[in-house]
Amino acid sequence: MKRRRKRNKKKQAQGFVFPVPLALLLVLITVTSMSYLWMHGRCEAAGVRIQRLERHQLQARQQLLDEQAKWNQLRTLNQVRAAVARHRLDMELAPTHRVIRLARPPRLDEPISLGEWARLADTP
Amino acid sequence: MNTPAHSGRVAVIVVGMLGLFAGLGARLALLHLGPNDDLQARVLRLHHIERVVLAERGRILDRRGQVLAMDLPVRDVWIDPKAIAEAGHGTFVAAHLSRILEVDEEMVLARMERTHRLHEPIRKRVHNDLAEQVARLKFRGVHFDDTMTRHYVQSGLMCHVLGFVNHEGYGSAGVEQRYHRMLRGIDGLRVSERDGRSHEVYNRRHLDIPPRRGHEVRLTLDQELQYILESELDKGLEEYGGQAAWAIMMRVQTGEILAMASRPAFDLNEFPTSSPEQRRNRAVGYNFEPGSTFKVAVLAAAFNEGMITPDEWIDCERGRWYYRGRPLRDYSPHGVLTVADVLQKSSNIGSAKIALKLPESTLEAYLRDFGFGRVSGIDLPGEETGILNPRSRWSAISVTRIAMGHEVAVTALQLLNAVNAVANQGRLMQPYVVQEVINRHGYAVHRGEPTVVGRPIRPETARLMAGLMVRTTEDGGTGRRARLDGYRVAGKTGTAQKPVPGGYSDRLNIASFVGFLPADNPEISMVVVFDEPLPERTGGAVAAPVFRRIAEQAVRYLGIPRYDEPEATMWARSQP
Repeated sequence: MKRRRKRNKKKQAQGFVFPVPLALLLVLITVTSMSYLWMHGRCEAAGVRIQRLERHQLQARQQLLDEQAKWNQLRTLNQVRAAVARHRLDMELAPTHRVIRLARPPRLDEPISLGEWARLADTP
Repeated sequence: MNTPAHSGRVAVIVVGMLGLFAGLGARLALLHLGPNDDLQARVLRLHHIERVVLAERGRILDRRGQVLAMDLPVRDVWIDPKAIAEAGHGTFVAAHLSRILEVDEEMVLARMERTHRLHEPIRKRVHNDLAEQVARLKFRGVHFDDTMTRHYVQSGLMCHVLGFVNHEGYGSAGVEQRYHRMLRGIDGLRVSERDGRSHEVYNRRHLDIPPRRGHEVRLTLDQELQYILESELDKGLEEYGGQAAWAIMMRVQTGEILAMASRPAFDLNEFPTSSPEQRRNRAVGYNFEPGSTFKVAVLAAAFNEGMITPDEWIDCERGRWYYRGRPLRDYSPHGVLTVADVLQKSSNIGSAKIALKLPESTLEAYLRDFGFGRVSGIDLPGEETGILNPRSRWSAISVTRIAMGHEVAVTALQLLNAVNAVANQGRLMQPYVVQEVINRHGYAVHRGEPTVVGRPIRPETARLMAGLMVRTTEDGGTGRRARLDGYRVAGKTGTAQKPVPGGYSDRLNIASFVGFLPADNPEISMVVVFDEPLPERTGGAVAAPVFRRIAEQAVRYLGIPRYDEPEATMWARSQP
C-alpha cells in the first residue's frame, strides 16, 4: 500500500474559499466597467474638444468676414479716390489727346514710335 | 469582547442602515419604475435645447466682382442690471459703455436701475472691433449676443437697385427683395441637451443640420459707371436745381442695365432713417408725361407704315394751330419743315400732323409694341406700368396730344427701352439687372440672357430714325448740348409741362434727354430726367449737358472707339 502523502494542514484554507470562476467574472465585470468609464470619459473629452473647435471655426469665420468687409471697404470708389487725392496723383480718365492707340501689340524691347503703328488717339 | 449589549447595539445599527438603504432603494425604484411621465417631461424640458443656426445671406456683386452687399458678424450688447448692482460699479461701467459704444450715458444708467430685470439691451449690431474693446474690460454684468447684419460696402451707391434687408432678415426693396429666396440661404437646426451648468453636452446632440449659405448674385451694373451716373446727377441738381433726377444706362444689344440712379437717395446702412421719397426708385417706379421724347416712337411708327418720308414737307403753322377747336403751340414757331426737321426742331404741330396720318388703332398698336402701357418685366420690384389709355378712351384730340408726349405717362425705363429698340435695329430687349446667380459650389443656378421681346419696327426704319436723331445733336437741333466730340450721338430732348390742378404748369417741367451712341454702331443708350429744374427748364438746357458729361466718361471707361478710328486699333479694346 502506498504511503499517503502527509498534507500540511496549516496550508489548507480555513473557512469559505472564494470560487475562482466567480472571481474571474467579477474581475471581467470590473475591467469592462472601467473600460466603459474610460471610453465614456474619452468621448466626453472628444465632445468638449469638438465644441471648442466649433467655436474656433465660428470665430475664424467671423474674423474672415470682418477682414473681407474691411478690405472691401478700402476698395470702395470713394476710398480709392481719396487715396489718390492724398498722394496727389491727380488721376483721371485720359482725354483723347493723351491716349496713344496701337495698331498691333508691341514686340519685346520695341520702342513705341508715333506714325508707324502708333498714333495719338485724336489724330485721323 | 462580545457582550449581549454590544451585539444588540451592532444589530440596531445594522438594521437601521439596512432600513435606510432599503428606503432609498424603494424610492429609487418608485422613481424609475413607477408612474414618472411628469418628471421625465420636466427633466427633458430643462435639458432640451433646440436652436436654429442662421444661414449666411449671399453676397451681391457688381459685374466686375466688386462686393456691394455682404453679411457682417456683429454683437448685440446687453447688461444684467442685477449683476451690475451687486458688483457696485454701475457708474463706471456706464461711462465706459457710453464712450466706446457712442450711446447716451443717461440711457445706460436708466437701464441699470431696472434691477428687477435680468436683460436690458444697450446697443444692437455693434461691430466686432467695438465689442472687443468692451469685452476686454471684463465688466461683470455686461454680455454679448453674436448675430449677423447686412452690410452695404458702398453705403449709398446703387441704393435703389440693391435695396435693403430689414431687421427681420427679409429683403424689402430692390434686388434684395426680388432675389430674397435665392439670397437668404437655408437655416440649420441643432437639437441637443444641456447639463446642470447650461453647457451643451456634445454626446447628447441628437440632430445637427448645418446651415446652407445663400446664393451669390452678380449684377449687370458696373460700380464705376454707377458712380459716374450718380456724381453727374448730383452735380446737375446742384447746377440746375430740381426736386429729383434719375438716369439709366443700358447696353444696346443685350438690354443689360449698366447703371441706374435716382435722386434723392439714401444710405443703405441707415435705411430706417430714410424717407419714402428717398427710397423711391424713380427710374422704374415714377410715371411722368414724357413730352417730346415720345415723338421718336410716333415718327418711327409713321415711317414704318410708309406714311411719311424724311424729306416730306409739313406745315407747322408758324407755331399755332387749331385742331378740332383746340389750340396747339410750338415752343419756337416754325413755318414749313421737312419731317427730318420736325424731329430736329421738335415741332409739336409737325408731330401732331404726322400722327394724324396714322389710323388710331395703328398708332396705339405701335405704342404698345414699343412697350408703353405695360411693365417691361425688369427683375426689380415696384415697376410702374405707365399710362397709355386704350383707344376707346381717346378724345377727338388725343392723337395730337399723344404725338407730343402728353396724355400718356411713361417710366424712364420704358422710354429708354423704346429708344434702345431704335438703336438695336428695331429689336425691343428685355431689360435686366442680374447677370447670374451662383450657388455655394460655384455653379450658376440662374443666368440673365439677352432676350428679344418684340420687333416694333423694321431694321431699315430703325436706321433711318437713328440718322434723324443724330441731327438733334447737331447745329440747329434742340439737343446740341449733348454732342460729344469724336462720337455721333443720336438723341431726343423732352420738355414736358407738369400737370397741376386745372391744367399744366407754366413754370414746372420734366426735362429729359434720351439717346444712344455711337449712332453708327450703338453700344450704350441712356436716359436722363430732371424734375422741376429752375431757372433753366428744358431738356436741351438741363438734361442734354448732363447726358454729355456722363457719356464722355462712359466712352473712355468702356473704351468705345471714336468714329474716326481705323479697324486695326480695335484689338486694344478687346484686351482685358
